[in-house]
Amino acid sequence: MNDYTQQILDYSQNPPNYGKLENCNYTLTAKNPSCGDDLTIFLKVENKIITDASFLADGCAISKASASMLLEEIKEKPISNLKLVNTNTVLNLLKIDISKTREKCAFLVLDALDTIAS
Amino acid sequence: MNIEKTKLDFPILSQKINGKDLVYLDNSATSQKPQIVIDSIADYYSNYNSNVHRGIHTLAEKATEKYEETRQKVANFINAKSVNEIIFTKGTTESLNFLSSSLGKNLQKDDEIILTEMEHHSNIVPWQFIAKGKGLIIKYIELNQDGTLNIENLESLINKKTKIISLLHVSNVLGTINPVEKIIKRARLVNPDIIAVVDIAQSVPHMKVNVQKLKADFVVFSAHKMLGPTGVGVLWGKYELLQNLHPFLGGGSMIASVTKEKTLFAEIPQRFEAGTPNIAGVIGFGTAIDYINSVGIENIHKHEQDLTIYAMEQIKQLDFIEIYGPNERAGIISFNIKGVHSHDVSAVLDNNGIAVRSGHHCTDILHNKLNINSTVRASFYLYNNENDVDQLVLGLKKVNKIFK
Repeated sequence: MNDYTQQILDYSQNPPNYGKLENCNYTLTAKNPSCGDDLTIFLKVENKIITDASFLADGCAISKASASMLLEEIKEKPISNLKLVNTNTVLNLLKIDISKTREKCAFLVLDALDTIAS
Repeated sequence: MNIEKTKLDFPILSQKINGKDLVYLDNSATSQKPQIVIDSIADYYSNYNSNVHRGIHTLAEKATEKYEETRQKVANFINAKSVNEIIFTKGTTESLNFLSSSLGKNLQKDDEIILTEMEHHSNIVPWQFIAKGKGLIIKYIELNQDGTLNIENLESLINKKTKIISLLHVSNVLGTINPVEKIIKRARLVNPDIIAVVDIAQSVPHMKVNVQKLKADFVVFSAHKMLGPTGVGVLWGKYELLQNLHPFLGGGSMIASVTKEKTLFAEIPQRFEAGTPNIAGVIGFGTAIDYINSVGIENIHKHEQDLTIYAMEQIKQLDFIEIYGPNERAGIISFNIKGVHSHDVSAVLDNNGIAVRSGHHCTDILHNKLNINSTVRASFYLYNNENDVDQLVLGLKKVNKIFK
């Protein structure tokens, strides 16, 4: 088993979409209480399209890679597409098997995006 | 101590994890169990499973006898004055909830409780529960950056309203051995009526703890960190204090008589053990104490101290590692690889068969104080040896290489 494919390492060490986004419409946060990981997502939405997205994270490689990849996936698409994003979307992007204990890391980005509805 | 022979007593240690020999270094979370402990639990269920303190039949008598034998073993192990001072709970957490709830009944608004910034959440949250309900004040002894407690100005925290001081003996993160006896003594010089609670969960499995010497009024600990099963804990209290303590749980076994109007309680310790206890667990715990005694707690302590010194020397040679806590410590080492999250460190170590803990180890306040998100923790027990440390060091070099 190898969680740390070159793709995951690249995404976690130099993640695209990393940083704070100015002029964003949404600031979404999620926390993993068992390890203290913190994730903040910034979305800029214009005419119901996600025109820009970024994130800040204090977390492990898996949580950073999954956030970075998923933001790439949802960018420049209608915000209504978020309804279609789920754990399978994340797993397909990560291309690794996620063990039970790492699910919280991989899916932290979904927890953050889920708060958009509330 | 013959560690190779000791390892053979623990069936779980002979397996491979991800194709590598298991190196188990997560003993502060829970210890492994020797075969004789596992056998004693199976023996109870196979041969004399029965409820305790109730039936007048052969099985019930044997179960009760074995259950009560453990109480005596625990009393001897920590040097309690009487076997009746030992109360079985389901763990350290329950013991602390018991104490906060029952001691809390006698507290008034604005009374004060002293904790420390290195406490496990189990020694913070239960006190916050009662503090909120009653308007009590919680004060914390500060943590120094070197991982020791700042007790220079201890006396300034304590006054006539201070009713309880509750602190841990050995830090589950930093391995710091707190000068508990000195702290309690100094606190009582300011206010002789302070009740002292000491969490010995991380010390009693690894070193001789004598509750008389500790000057504590109550101590709490868990069986599963000292080779016993999960779901069994101990609350020891001075008998005269137990007499004034309200029971935590009500129900069967803890009563003398029940009428529609009121209940008269059973004698101590039954008064504090409502419901059917974890009988198999308590019996297994007794066997665990036998095992520790057969090796000798002083020998275990010496072995772990030697191993910890060796591990600190080896890990300090890795310039990519930051170690937290004092040099003089119990067999617990928490650290980080610079720039790598603790989860990633432990995941790569696991790929190499090495089990360590990562995260905040139920100590948010400590981690915030040291300004770190999480740590990797390696913790030792009697079956670990220098080869385990060498494997850890090799594993850490691999982690560093992957994330460089």
